[in-house]
Amino acid sequence: MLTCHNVIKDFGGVRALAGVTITVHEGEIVGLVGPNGSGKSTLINNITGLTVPTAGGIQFLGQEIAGNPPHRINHMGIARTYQIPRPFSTMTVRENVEISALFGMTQGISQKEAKQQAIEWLDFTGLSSYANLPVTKLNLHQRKFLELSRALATKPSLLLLDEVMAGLNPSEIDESVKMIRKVHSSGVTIVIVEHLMRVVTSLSTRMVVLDQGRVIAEGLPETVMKDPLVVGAYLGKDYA
Amino acid sequence: MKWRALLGFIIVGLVLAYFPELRDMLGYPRYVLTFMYFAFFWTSLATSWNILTGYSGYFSFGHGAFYGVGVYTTAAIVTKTELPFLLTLPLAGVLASLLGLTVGFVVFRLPQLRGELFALLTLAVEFVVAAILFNLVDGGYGLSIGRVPYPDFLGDFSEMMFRLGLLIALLTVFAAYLVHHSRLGRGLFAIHDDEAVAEGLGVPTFRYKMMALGLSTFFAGLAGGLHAVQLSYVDIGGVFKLTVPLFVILMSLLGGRRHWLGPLIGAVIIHTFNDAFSDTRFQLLNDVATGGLLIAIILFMPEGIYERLRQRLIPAATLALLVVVIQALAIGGRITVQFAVMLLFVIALLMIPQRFYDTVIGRFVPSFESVKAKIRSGAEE
Repeated sequence: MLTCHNVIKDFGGVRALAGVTITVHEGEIVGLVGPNGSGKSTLINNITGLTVPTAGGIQFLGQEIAGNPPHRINHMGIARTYQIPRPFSTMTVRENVEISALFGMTQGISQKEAKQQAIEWLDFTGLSSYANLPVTKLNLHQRKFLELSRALATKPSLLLLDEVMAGLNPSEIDESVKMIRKVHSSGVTIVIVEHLMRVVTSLSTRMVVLDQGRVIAEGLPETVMKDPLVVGAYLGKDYA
Repeated sequence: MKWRALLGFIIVGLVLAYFPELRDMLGYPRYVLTFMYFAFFWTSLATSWNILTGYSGYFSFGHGAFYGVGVYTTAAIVTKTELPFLLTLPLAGVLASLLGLTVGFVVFRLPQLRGELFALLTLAVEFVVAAILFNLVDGGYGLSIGRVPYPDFLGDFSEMMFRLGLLIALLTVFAAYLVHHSRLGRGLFAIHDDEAVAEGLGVPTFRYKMMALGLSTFFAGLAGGLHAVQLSYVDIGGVFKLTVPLFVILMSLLGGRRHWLGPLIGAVIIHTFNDAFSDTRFQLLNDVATGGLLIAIILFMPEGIYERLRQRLIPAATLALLVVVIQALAIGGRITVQFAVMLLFVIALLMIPQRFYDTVIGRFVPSFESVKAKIRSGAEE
């Protein structure tokens, strides 16, 4: 479904991605992990078009997408959430989701339909009782779920989740895990970036580990976590 | 909804277009027509500025450039060719819009040109345009337009200006209304809040910014074209004064940038005050009062007058009526000054802090919203 081929990204003299090759198949939940600064968010930014790779190619559903503007990549079926929620701050909760329903994959729907769909997505993520509140009234957990509702309302076939659970308490995390499973079972392929190992290993069908802009391990969660390279990357070489 | 709005705009237009005919019956003096023409002019300029800046958040300091291109298009064609003046108006709009789109095509492609840099760059555009027109058309002597021929049914000069100004203002405000309620407007509001996120959620931000800028500059040029005839003599120093960009900003800020009606309200208020206190004896007072008003509005009504007016419509309308009647019966004086005094009272009412208002006035006077809801539920039963 998605293939990143030898993607390189430089920021000035810093090489954030040093040739990353990853394939995501339809129906997977891919856990993308790695220490801070390993290039996870940079990779997501490159896939969604927010930044353009210095070199390398990214194909989605057989088409080259690197270099396309983000809105076109979104229209092809890729949506993301942000690590730190970025709601439209002058709008209500519902209006936030309406924007993505209006402009996502299902472009051309009327504003009335968009409103209807927004309400449905807020029901899905359990935010419907806050629909008419300004977003500033939401707490972190709710904002993260709003991010998710907004991404889902664009009707993606591939969803990139950038640390949706960071900063949440254990019961909120359990709720999020359930939500992600629900999204996955509705037919959406998911790439999840997460620091909470317990969560990623239980959710993902396959894991990819990045370190210093390279893929250092790839495979089933239980085998990957025992890989000496991975242990070394997280805990230092002495523990490997 | 949109058809009903269109009908509303047409009715308002027809009623107002008939206003000059009623001069004998109503007995208002002739300067009222010119006064209202200027209100229409500022409404067009402020509203057109707001289509880009109010909706999308791209702060333009260069609205005067597009207005100026409109002024000079009409002025140059009318003085140098036989083309009828009415035909030059759409041309003035199109040329201003082309300039706008050219600037936008370059500026909107560079993501680093947001915020202060965009404001500075648009200001630079104004100076560049002024310099080019100075060398190309004006030559330092200015252009003297004098009387222009126009169809008879528009009435005498001040009636004609009144009617054309009205038409342009209505077109601009209607465009702002349509944008506000369309996909374009929704997309622009999203760009205003967070452009990168909007783009990632499927909003074609570049195209939408271009559309907003194209519309915004078109109406600025159109209003400028007509204003050339009102000025009758145009020169670079006068046309490209910073008054235009500053006033449209002040008006929109005052009225409220988030709603299509905001700039109209701001334009009417500022123009009325300027006119009422335009006597040279009051010039300093007027400047001080305008500055003071701006500070007070930013402090007490950051969201603009429109929001407050909507919440306090009933007491505001009552107060306005009361002040008008008292002045007409007991005090007299220039009708435009009476209007200014009435506006002062209403603004004072709107400036009462929300908490104080809720405990004193809000307790006895229902909000417009609640009355509307009551009528609606009554109709359903």
